[in-house]
Amino acid sequence: MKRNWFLVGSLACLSFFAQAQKADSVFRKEKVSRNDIDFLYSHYIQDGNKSAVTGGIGTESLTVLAPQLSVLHTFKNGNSLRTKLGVDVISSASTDNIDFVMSSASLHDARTHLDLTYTRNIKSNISVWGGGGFSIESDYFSLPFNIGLLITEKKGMRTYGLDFQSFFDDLRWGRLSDSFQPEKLIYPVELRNTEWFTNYSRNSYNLKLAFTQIINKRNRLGIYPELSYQNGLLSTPFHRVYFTDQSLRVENLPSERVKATIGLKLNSFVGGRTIFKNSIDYYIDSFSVQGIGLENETALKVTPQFVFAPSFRVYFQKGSKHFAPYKEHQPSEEFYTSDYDLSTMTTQKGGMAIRYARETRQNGKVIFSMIEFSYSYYSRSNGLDAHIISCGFKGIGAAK
Amino acid sequence: MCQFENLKRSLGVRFFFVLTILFLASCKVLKPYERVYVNDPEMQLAKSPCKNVEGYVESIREGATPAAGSKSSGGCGCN
Repeated sequence: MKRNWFLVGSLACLSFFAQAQKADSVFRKEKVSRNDIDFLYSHYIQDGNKSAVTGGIGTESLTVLAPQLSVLHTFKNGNSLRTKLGVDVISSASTDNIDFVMSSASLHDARTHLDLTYTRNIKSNISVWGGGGFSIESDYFSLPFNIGLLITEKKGMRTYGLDFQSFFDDLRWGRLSDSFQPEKLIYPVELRNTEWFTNYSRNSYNLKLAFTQIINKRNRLGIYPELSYQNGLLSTPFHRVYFTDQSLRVENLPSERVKATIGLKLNSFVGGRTIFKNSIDYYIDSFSVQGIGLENETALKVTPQFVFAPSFRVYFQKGSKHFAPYKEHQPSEEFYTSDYDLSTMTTQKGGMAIRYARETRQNGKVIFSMIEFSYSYYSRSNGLDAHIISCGFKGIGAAK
Repeated sequence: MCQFENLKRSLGVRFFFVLTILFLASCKVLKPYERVYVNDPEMQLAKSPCKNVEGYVESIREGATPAAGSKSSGGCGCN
């Protein structure tokens, strides 16, 4: 009892002598702009023996080296501008067979692409964005545009996203030639005596929706419905098709295509260190292609910074009604292709990623945030095999 | 073809059923201190840059275009 009285008395004395905390005259809350820098290098090697350039037979050997740099500048008011620049250096044995000579412009090609996206925060939980850019290679020029909206529910449990994309493409060859002028569609060398197509443009419109929900303490769900419409020249003008009567023509596909996709993703934190990332995609289109893809990535957090993530994907595809292999098309068919990308097939992909994330500071600025290395082996049931190697680096710098 | 149809039906129906049950049963608002796991960087639904590369390859080498794909610029993908 005496001890309690002593404590109460001591506190009363202290409160009498204690002074209120003075305002800190040095500390001042200030918003700063920042730059997020992402560098990504990917190396793609493919081989197979069913090239569409040679009518469903012949080499599909291809190597693509693709460095890409992306800078996201976030302004003091929270709005941001993303600039993405990339180059794909392509060595393709199959496209060299367009004219069967080693001087073909398509043996070595390069695709350069630049995209700009500006994001504005209308409210604390609503952001809108718009962007555009270009992509150019020897036989292709594309102008992409997109606008989008993201709403985050106030309790932060749910988001609603909408993105509308459009691509305006020109398939004429010659933009990377000496004249830098588009000249004409490029056909296989033995079929150049006929003008197979009068249209050289291809337009694509994609409506992408996204709905995400935190289900509980350990599960996140995402639902992604999409609808796409394409019109124009959907055939590739240098793809050959051989018929049962030994005749030869350029691939011909309908001038319109409608695609519908729905994807579901479920990320689950199991135990203290393991995250299962499961996804399923269902696809259907007006070429009568149907597909289902199932993927699992299991992220194992060896330490809070170091993640080891094996993954596996399997995909089943029912092919297009316009597809037939080499010399199996009937001459009476209106539309025809021997492109095995549109065939009935099963694909499998197995891979592994290693991620290391740790903020490293120098002079108060963050210079390193994350590095990722990934390798995947991709195999198609019709004989195409590919290796995908990629390495990503992320750095962040704060600036006034 | 038959194998494809059977797989499509069985996996698709089961997956949607499980998700619907999960969704209806347990969507309660979490307090900030309960979000340790769902806010982990690995729990975010966006793909990593390296996964985006793989998604881009799949969108070219398969007839289908995967949902939430990463295609941000044109290109023939015809090689």
